Amino acid sequence: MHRVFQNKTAIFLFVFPGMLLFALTFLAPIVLSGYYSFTETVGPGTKVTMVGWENYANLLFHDPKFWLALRNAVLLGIGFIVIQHPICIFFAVLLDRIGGKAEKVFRTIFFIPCVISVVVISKMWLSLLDPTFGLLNKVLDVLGLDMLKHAWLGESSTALGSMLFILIWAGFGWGLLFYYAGVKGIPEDLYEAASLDGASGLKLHLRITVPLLSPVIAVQVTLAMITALKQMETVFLTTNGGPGDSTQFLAVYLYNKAFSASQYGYANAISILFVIVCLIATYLSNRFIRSDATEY
Amino acid sequence: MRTKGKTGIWIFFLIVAFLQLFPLVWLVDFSFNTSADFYSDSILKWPSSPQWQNYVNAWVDGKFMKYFFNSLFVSAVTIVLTVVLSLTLAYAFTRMQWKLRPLFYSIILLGIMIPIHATLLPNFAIFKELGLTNSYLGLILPYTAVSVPLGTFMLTGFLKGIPKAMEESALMDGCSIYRIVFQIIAPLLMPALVTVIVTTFLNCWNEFIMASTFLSKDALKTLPFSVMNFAGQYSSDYGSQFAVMVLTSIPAIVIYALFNEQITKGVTAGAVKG
Amino acid sequence: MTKQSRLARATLLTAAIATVAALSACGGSNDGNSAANGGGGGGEGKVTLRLFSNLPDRKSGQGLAEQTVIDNYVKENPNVKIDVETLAEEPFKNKLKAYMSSNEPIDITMVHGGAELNTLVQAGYVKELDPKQYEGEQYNFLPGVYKSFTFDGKLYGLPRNSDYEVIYYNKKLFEDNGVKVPTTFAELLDAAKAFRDKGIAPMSINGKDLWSFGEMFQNVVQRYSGDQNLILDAVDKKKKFTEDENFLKAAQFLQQVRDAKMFQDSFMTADYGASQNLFTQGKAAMWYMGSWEAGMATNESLPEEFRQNLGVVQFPIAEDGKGKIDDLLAWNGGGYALVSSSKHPEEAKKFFDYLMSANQWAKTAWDTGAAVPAQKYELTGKESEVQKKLTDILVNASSTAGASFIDYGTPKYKDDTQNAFGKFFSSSAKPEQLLADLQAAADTQ
Repeated sequence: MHRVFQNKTAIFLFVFPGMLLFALTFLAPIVLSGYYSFTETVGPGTKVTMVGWENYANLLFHDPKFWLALRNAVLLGIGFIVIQHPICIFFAVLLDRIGGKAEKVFRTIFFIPCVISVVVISKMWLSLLDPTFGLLNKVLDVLGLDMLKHAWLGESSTALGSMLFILIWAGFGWGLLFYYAGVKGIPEDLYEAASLDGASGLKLHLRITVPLLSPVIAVQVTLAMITALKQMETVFLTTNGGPGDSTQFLAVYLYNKAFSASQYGYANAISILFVIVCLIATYLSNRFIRSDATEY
Repeated sequence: MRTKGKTGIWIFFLIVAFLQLFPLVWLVDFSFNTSADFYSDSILKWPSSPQWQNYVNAWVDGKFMKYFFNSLFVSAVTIVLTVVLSLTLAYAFTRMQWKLRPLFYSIILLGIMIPIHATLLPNFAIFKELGLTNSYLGLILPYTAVSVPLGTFMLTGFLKGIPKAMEESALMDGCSIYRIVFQIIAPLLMPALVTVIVTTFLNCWNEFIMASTFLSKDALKTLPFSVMNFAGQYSSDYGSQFAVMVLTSIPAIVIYALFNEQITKGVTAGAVKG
Repeated sequence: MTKQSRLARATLLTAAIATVAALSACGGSNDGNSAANGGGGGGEGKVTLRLFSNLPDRKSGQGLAEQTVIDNYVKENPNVKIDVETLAEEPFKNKLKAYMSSNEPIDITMVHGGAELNTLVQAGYVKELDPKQYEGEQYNFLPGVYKSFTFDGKLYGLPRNSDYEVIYYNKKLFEDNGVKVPTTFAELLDAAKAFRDKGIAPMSINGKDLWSFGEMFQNVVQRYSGDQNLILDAVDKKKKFTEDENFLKAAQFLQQVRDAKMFQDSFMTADYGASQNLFTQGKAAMWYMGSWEAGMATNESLPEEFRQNLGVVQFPIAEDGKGKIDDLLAWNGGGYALVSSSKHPEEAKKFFDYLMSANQWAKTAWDTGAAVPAQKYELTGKESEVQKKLTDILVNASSTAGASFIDYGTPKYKDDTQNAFGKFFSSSAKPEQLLADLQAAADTQ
C-alpha cells in the first residue's frame, strides 16, 4: 500500500470540514437538547429548573400521545412496506419489460411528483381532499359513490390512511427508481434459464426478481421506517397532528410542545427519545433483514 | 404475443400516469379560476375568462423572482459544498488508511438517521448565537450538513466498485493525492455525483421547516416560503394561491426534465456496482 | 478511549463554533453593507425599526389599518424606516416563540394577551410599560382593557381591539331558505338541521386552529350559568369542571352541536382562512368568529353580494339558562408590545406611542371598518351596518368576560385544553369525558 494513503494532512483535510459541520448541526444541538431535557423551562433565556429524569418518566409512563405518535409512525412505515414497495417493484418490473422509448417516458412521468415541494404537495392535497370543493369527493359524486364521501383528512378514521396515500403518491417515484435500478442489474440470462425450467409470470418473479432485489429491498425498508418516523412537514401543513391526535407524529408533537405549549424542556426530552428511537429502528431493521444491507 | 403484452402495459401505464398527474392538472386548471369557481360541481372547470391576474398576484406579491434567486443561490452553494465534502469524506473512508476510520464513518452515517426536526430547536439557538440566523449561511450550512451523510454514503458505495489501478499508476507519475481525488476520481464518479447533486438540489429547493424557522429577513427567503407567505396574504383567494404553487413547482420540474437521464443513470450505476 | 473521544468531541465543537463565528462575521459585514446601500438616500441617522405582525394581508382589514399608521409615521419621520415582517396567525405564534428563545432584536411585536404574552414576560422578551403614561386624552383607553396584558400588577403591552365573539351570518341564505336567525340554542340547532337538509354548511369554524372551540364553550357555559367568572374560577381551580352542573350542560350542548353536524364538513382541517372562505363564498350560513372581522363588510376583494348580505348577531341564549343575550364574551386579546432586545429602544417607543394614540390605530381601524378598538373612538356616520351593529352589541353589553379562559392559564394549559376540544369534536366522546379532560388540564397546568 502506498504511503500517500496514510498521509495525515490529507486525511485531516478530507475529514475535518465534514466532521466539523456534522458536529455543529447534529452533535452540538443534541448535547444542548440533552441538557434541556432535564429541565423545565418555557424557552432558553428564561428561568430554568432542573427536574432530573421527570420529563422522561412522564413521557414514557404518563404520556399516551408519545406512544400514539410512535404507533402512527409504525403504522405508516408498515403501510409503506406493505403497500408502496410491492407496487414499486411491480412497476419496476413492468417498466423493464416495456422497453424502448416508453420505458424512458414513463420513468420520467412517474417521477414528477417527487420534484414538487412538500409545501405545494401538502396544500394541494388539503384542497384535493377537501370535502366541499375537493376533487376526490366530486369524483365520487360523479361515479355515484356518494356514500364513500368523507372529510378525508378531517375525520379520525380516515386521516392516517389519507396521509399514507398522500405520502405514497409523493414518494412513489423514488421507490420506483431504486427498484428499477435493481431490476436493471439482474442479468437477463437468469430469467432465460428459469423460464427454460418452466417458471413464468408471477412465479418467475417470485423466484428470481424478489430474491435478487433483496439488498435493495433491505435498504429501502430501512429507509421507509426512517421516513415514517421522521414524518413532519406533510402532517404539520395538513392536519397538524389532528383531528384529535389521529395523525400525531413525534416531530409534530415535539414542535407543538416547544412552540404552542411552551414546554421547552419536555420538547427536548421528546427530541432525545426521538433520536434514540430512530437509531434503534435503523439498527433493528438492519439486523432483521440482512446484516450486509448497508453495503449497498 | 410479446407485443400484445406490451400494449397491455402501455395502456395500464397510461391510465396510471393519468391518475397520478391528474392532481397537478387540477391544480393548474383551478389556478386560472376565481375563488367562486372552486365551489362549482364540475371536476375540471374551463375558466370563463382565465384569471391571469392570479399569476400577476403570484409573481408580484409572491415576490417570485426574489425568492427564486434565493432558492437558486442557496441550492447552488449547498450543492458545491455537498459535492466537495462528500467526495473527500468518501475517499477518506474507502481509500485512506487511518485508525478511526470505522468510527468516523458510522458517525457520519448517523446523520442519515438523526431527524433534523429533533435538532431544530437547539440548532436555532446555536445559529442565533453565531449570528447565522439571518444570512444565507444559516440555511446553507444545515442543508449541507443534512446532504453530506447521504452523499457520502452513496459515493462510498460507488467508490468501492472502482478498481485502484488508475490511482496507483497516477501515483507512479507523481500525482498528488488532491489531484487524484479531484481530477481522476471525480470524473469516474460522475454518475454517482449527478445523483448526489440532484437529490441535494431537490432537498434544498423544497425544504421548508428550517427555512421558516431560521429566516426572518424577507430578502433571504426561499420559494417554499413564498407559498406560505402568500397563503396568509391571499387567504381568501384560492386561485392566486394555486397560481403561486404552480409557479414554484415549474423550476424544479424543468430542472428535473433536463437532468432526468443522468439521475436514472446515477442510481442505476450505483445499484449495479453495489 | 471514551475519555479521549469526549475530549476530541469537545475540541471539535469549540473549533466548529470558532470557525462558523469567523464565517458569520463575513456574513454580518455583508448585511451591514447592503443596509447602508439601501438607506443611501436617507441621509444621516437613518433608523430601521422592525415590526412583527400577524396581519399578512396589507390591503384590507386590520393589515391595511396597521400599514396606514406605519405609512403615516414614516411620512412624518423621514429618518425612520419600518420593516414589517408578517406571518399568518399560527406560524406567527410559533415564530414569535423562536424569536423569544433566541432573543431576536425586533423592536415592536404584535402579541396575544394572556398565556402567550405571559411566556414572553417570563422570558423577559417584552418591556414593562408605565400605565400612567397611557392615561388621558391622547390614548383614551377604555376602562379595564389592560387585564390580559398585566402580570403581577405590571403592564407589558397595549390592546389594539375590543375582542368579542359573535356570529356572522349570511342574510340571503337565511331568507332564501326560510330559516330564522337563531336567538336561542334550540333555534340554533333547528337552523343547523334546516341548512343541513338543504346541503348548506350551517356554521363555519376554524377547527384546525382549535381555539374557537374554547371560545364557544366559554360562551355556552356563560349562557347556562349567567356567571362570567365561573369558567375563569375553574381555571384557577376554585371550581371544578367535573362538579358544577353548568359545565355539564354546556358540554352536553356541544355534543348536540356536534351531532347536529353544525360545523362544515371540513371543519377539523379548516384553518382561519379556509373557514372564512367557506363563509365569504356563501357556502356556509354562519361563521363563529370575533369582532375583529368587522372589516369583511368593507373588504372589496370579497364578493359584492356577500358584503351586502353580511349580518352579525350575538351568541344565542339557553332557554333554561341564566345568561342574557347581552352578556358578552369580550376580552382584549390582540395588542402590541415593545421588545426588550430592541436596538433602537427610543425610536421604537416613539413609534409605539404613535401607533397606540387614539387618533392613529384606533381611528384608522375604526374608519376603515377593520375592527372595534379598545379605545374611545368617534362615530363618523359612514360606518357599515356591520360596524353599527357591532358597536351596539358592545355598548349594550350587560356584562363582559374580561378574559378568554383558554388564555387564562399557562401555555401548556391552553394547549391541553384546546386538544381536549379537538379530541371531543373529532370523536364520539361523551360530554363527561370532555369535562374530565378539561379538569385534568386545569390540574396539571
